[in-house]
Amino acid sequence: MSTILQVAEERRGDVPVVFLKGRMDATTSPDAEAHINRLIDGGDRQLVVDLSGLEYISSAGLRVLLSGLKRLKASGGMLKLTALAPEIQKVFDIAGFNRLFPIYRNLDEALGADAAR
Amino acid sequence: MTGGVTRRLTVPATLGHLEALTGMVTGLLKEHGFPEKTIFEMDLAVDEACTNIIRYAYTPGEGEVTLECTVTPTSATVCIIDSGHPFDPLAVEPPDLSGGVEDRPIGGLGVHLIRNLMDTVTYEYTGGKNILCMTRFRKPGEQSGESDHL
Repeated sequence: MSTILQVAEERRGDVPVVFLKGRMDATTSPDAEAHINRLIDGGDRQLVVDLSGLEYISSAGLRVLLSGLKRLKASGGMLKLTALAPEIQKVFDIAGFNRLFPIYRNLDEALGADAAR
Repeated sequence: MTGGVTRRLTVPATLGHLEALTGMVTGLLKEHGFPEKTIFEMDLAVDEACTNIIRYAYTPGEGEVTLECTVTPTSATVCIIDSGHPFDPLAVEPPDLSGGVEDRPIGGLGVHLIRNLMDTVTYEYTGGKNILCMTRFRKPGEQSGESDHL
């Protein structure tokens, strides 16, 4: 099991896609938070976070995603999530996050969908 | 195997030791053939409980946390012990999950996850120690190495 979080970014047209791979816990989540905040501070309003490589998320990771979504929504933007593994989806369901975030099966769907759901 | 196998670990209560704490539990469960899904959920419950202790139980940088993990053929139990401020996580009100993004407080989800993922959770404060015990039973039909389809 991975004990680190890898954060990578790739632009698809105008939209930055953040890839989170590995383990998102209290130790590693600040890296993802810094990355997401940097994008928002830089003016991006539409973010896609690809979780296909995410093996683990704790409430510390959920917090980072929620604070990103709050910041973006407050300024008319959106944070979309894509490709949640079943265990990750279960954590989202328990936390009620499935009703807060637009969640897509894969990156193409997230990029093709309208910003507002 | 009869009875249970217990492993104990005491480390300073810092985030740098979180991996050692969760790793001890996941390692023991793996050795005893618990399904990946159970290991994931135990990992998460231990992470949440220990992160709370590391963040709130002591003056930062002080104190220790002890983990005691017992596996039997039918269950896995983790007890987490600290000598910090008395804190009963089971007395925490469940979070309100009904609101929209704007209303959602940041935080307060750790205990909620623990309660939902574990089969039993008990807390006591005795001898100046917080003792939180969490058990996950091996459900009928859960086989060693079973894939974790939900």
